[in-house]
Amino acid sequence: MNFAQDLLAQAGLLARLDPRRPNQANVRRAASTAYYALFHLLTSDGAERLARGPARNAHRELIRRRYDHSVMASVSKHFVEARAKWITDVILPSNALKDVAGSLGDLQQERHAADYSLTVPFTRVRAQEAVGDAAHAFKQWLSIRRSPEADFYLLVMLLGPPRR
Amino acid sequence: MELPTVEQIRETAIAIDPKFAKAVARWDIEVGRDWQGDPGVFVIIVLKDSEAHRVWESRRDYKDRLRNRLWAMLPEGYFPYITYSAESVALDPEIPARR
Repeated sequence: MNFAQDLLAQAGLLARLDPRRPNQANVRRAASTAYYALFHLLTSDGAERLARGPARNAHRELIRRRYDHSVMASVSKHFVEARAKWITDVILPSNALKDVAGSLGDLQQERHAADYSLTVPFTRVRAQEAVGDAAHAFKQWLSIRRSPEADFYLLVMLLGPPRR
Repeated sequence: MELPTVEQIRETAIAIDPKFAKAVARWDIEVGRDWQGDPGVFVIIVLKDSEAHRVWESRRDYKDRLRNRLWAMLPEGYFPYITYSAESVALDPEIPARR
């Protein structure tokens, strides 16, 4: 949690540097770091939730590293839509969970744009929007992180959606 | 369900909140694929430098409403990606514009 919060704070600082002419590296890193802040918040919680026993520190690290960006994005889209039977049979996602899942998808796409789409300048507003989006997702997550829907979301993001 | 045109998406974005839309310099809209290769609609709401501060606090509400509207318009499998930008690279929307 502390690392995730530090990343979010760092993203905010990067987005506000260079008042007259933002350095592209700084604003792009701000958007990218905002995504990683949310990524680490969720994967740390998932690992914390699932690691058990005397070797839980080692387990925690194994679980955390098993989370895959692509799987997390795909699963998050399903949670935003909230139409898949394998979700609605277990939970009805709250607006808070949908916000978190939507932000994860948006921020991952923004991270990709910030890191790889270099033809158009990245604006400070775009970086600040990414930081604001991540901050909102943090707030929403903290309101539901101990709930059954949060458990389910973290588990499915680790394992992927069920096979048909 | 057919994929809406870029113009239909723009008209929808304006109709949702005409007052908010007055703060928008342009909507950059693309239909394509996200980094995973899944179909998506990408909307960048480019705010006017002179108006960004006025609407900054309400941007999330507007984005949520636009996303919900797009969900209803898009064929299954399309994901709407929405973000904000501004006319100037350096604009800080949290600082009121100088007159």
